[in-house]
This record gives sequence, C-alpha cells and structure tokens, in this order.
Amino acid sequence: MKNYHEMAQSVLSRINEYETAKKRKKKVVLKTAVPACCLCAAVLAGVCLHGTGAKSSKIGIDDTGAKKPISALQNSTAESRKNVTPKDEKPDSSSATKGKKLAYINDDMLGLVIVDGKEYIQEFTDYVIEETYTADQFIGDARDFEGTYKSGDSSIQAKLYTTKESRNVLLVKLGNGGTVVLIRNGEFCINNKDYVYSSDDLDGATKEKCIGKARPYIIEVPTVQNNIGADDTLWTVQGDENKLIAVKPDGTQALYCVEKKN
Amino acid sequence: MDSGSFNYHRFRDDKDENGLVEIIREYKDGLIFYLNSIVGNIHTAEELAEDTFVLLGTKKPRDKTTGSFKTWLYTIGRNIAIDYLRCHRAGREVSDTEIVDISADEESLEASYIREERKIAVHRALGSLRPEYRQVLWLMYFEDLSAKQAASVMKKSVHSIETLVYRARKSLKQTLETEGFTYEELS
Repeated sequence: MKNYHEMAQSVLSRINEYETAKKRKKKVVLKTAVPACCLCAAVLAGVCLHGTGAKSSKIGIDDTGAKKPISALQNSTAESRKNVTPKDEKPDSSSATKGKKLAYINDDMLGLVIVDGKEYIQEFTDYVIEETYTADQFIGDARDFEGTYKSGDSSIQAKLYTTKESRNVLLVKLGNGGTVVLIRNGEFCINNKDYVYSSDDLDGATKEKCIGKARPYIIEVPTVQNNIGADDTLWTVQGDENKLIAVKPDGTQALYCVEKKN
Repeated sequence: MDSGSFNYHRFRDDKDENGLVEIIREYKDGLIFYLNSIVGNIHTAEELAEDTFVLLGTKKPRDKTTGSFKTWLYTIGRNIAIDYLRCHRAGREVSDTEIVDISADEESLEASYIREERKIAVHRALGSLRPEYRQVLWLMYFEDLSAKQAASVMKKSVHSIETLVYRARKSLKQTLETEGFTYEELS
C-alpha cells in the first residue's frame, strides 16, 4: 500500500503525463488543421467561382434572355430548408456536448418528459453521469411532449434525444448549451406499467398471486442502483392492480406502486 | 467552505499542487475504505482512489454541490468504482499470496485510520455483508455522514437510505452475534 506522499507523487506524475499528451495532441491538430483549412478554402473558392460562372449562364438568364429576380432563388432555398424533417437532424455535437454545462429550464424545476406513456425524470446531474451518456436519435422538441418543458420558457430550444448507452435514458440538449439527463422513472415494468419503490411498510397490502422473479422485468439504467433485485419474487396485491409486493431472498418485503402521471 | 473545498480551489484556480497533495493526505484512507466497501478488494480500491484524484487533476470538474467536499469526492469515487465493476463484471481471481497481502494491508490501514479496536472488529464484520449495506454503514458510522449526505453519495432518496441502514444494522447485528460480540450501539 502506498502512503499519502507516494500516492501524491504518482497522481501528480499521471496528471503531468496527461497534460503533456494533451499538448502534443493539440500541436498535431494545429499542424494538420492549418494546411487542411487552406486546402478547404482553396476548394471552396474554386467551387464558388465555378458556381458563379454557371449561374450567370443558366439561372440568371431565362430562355427569353431576361434576367430572373434574385428573390425567386431565395424562395426556392427557403423552401428546401423547410422540408428538412426533425428526423433528419443529427445530434448536435458542438457546444452542447463539449460544454458540459449543467442547465435547467428553470432553476427550481426538475425536468420531466412523458414519452410513449413512460415518465423520464431529470437525474442528479454531475460531471461523471453527464459523461456517461451520448446522444443518439433525435426524437423531437421536448416542449412538444407532456412534462415540465411544455410549460417552461418556450424561448429556450430543448431537443430530445435517445442515448446510445441505454434505452431508458434520454438527453435534452438546451438551446443555451446545457444538457439534461432524464432517467426512466421506474424500477421494473410489467404489462406496460412502470413500478417505483414505495416503502418497506406494506401498509395492509396482502399478497395474492405470484408473478415470478423480477429479473425479466427490471429497468436497467447504468448509473442507477435499483432497490429491486433480480432474484426478488414479485406478487400481485389483493384489490389493487397498481401495487406489487417484492420479496427478497432473505424474506424482507417491499411495496412498489405505479405513480400517477402528471 | 470546508478544508477540502479550500484545497481544491487552491489547486484548480491558483494552480497550487500542494492543494491536491493536502486533499490526498486528508481523504485517501477514508476513500480507499469506502471504495473497498463497493469493490471488496483493498488493492483495487487503492487504485480506484488514485484514479479519482487523477480525475480531479486532469478534468478539474467544478464542485457544483452545495454539500461538503467529502460527499462530492466520494460520489466521484463511487462512479469510478461502478464503471470499474461494469468493465470487470466477471471478477478476477485472487491468488493465496495476494489474499495474505490484502488482509495484511487492510489491517495496517485499519490500525492507522480507524484506530479503535471495537470499531475495527465492526469493520471486519462489514466484510460479510452485502455491498450496499457495507457502503451505507461505512458512510454513516465511520465517516459520520448524515442520511442526506449518504443519499447524495449513493444516489438514493433519504427514505431509501433510512430503510437500507435499518436492514444493514439488522444484518450486522446478526453477524456480530454469531461471532460472539454484543454491540449495544447497533441494537
């Protein structure tokens, strides 16, 4: 085992190595980026020159020899932009991903979105958790879904994405550069209902029918530890279809329920 | 601002390496024991604790929490440990000689960090409990964190932590009783 001095030396040397590698990488990027940018600029200039020449011969002058108004060109460009559907949009990998800025629509509001009847709630977002998830498919604007974003400040854009790491986690990329991690609100899902932990006190609930082990129903989220265990046995509750009892292998019991959607 | 936050700002904003050295001196042993309660191997816990300090030094994350520095540091450590467990789910085999090394190292660290003999006995009994029980008992009884702080580190609600502590104490009591201890404070 290292004492604190040895560990500090080791940590500092690793940090130095990291800084050196970072500087080297930056140098390499700069070295290649400058010629690449020059090349791109030259190509772009070439294309522009070629395009201008073509326009003057094909677009600018019609069959009768009369010049077309420029507004006609602008309208066609605007129309082609309008036709881009949200599904064609790719995750924005610029400021939103790299900024790693914690952001909320309102400071006192917990982000919540209901997608396909499932509730996704903002997870306590810290550096490491935010690093864990990366945006995958664009679903739509969070303001178009039921939840807190709908009633929030409509001037802030809030793009909703699935994540590559888990189908139970969504990301909201806000127009102000922030990212919000939304976690599916439930520990397991049976008959399309998400159940959340209620208490260890069964509160008079009595077991009715055994459903089986919890394993196939558990909602896995990489950064969240569930109360329910894979080997817990699930039971229905007499007279209440929105509650279930889970019995751990050591005999302890807990009550789970379906939360009412807002 | 506690001393941990002060030293971290010294390191991050004033670029004073001694700030980080002070953090390592102050929190190293406790963090190793906490990570040991997650991964169950004192040597791996030591490596993960070092990784936690390296992350502080390289990424220099902002301390966004309003709570104590220790809570924030342990949360980062816990995330790193969970990442480690995810990558090494199958578990690695430990040789007989390594087991002897591990227990000797753990004993010497216990003697220097926990000190009290009775607490050391309780700490050893923690080894036979479930990882979640070990974690919560370590945070609340050895690190003196409140239920709210433990909930923040373990990413659970305060209510979940309270029930977890209840179950953990019950389980620990059984373990201690089978080993012939009577520990009134835990009853």
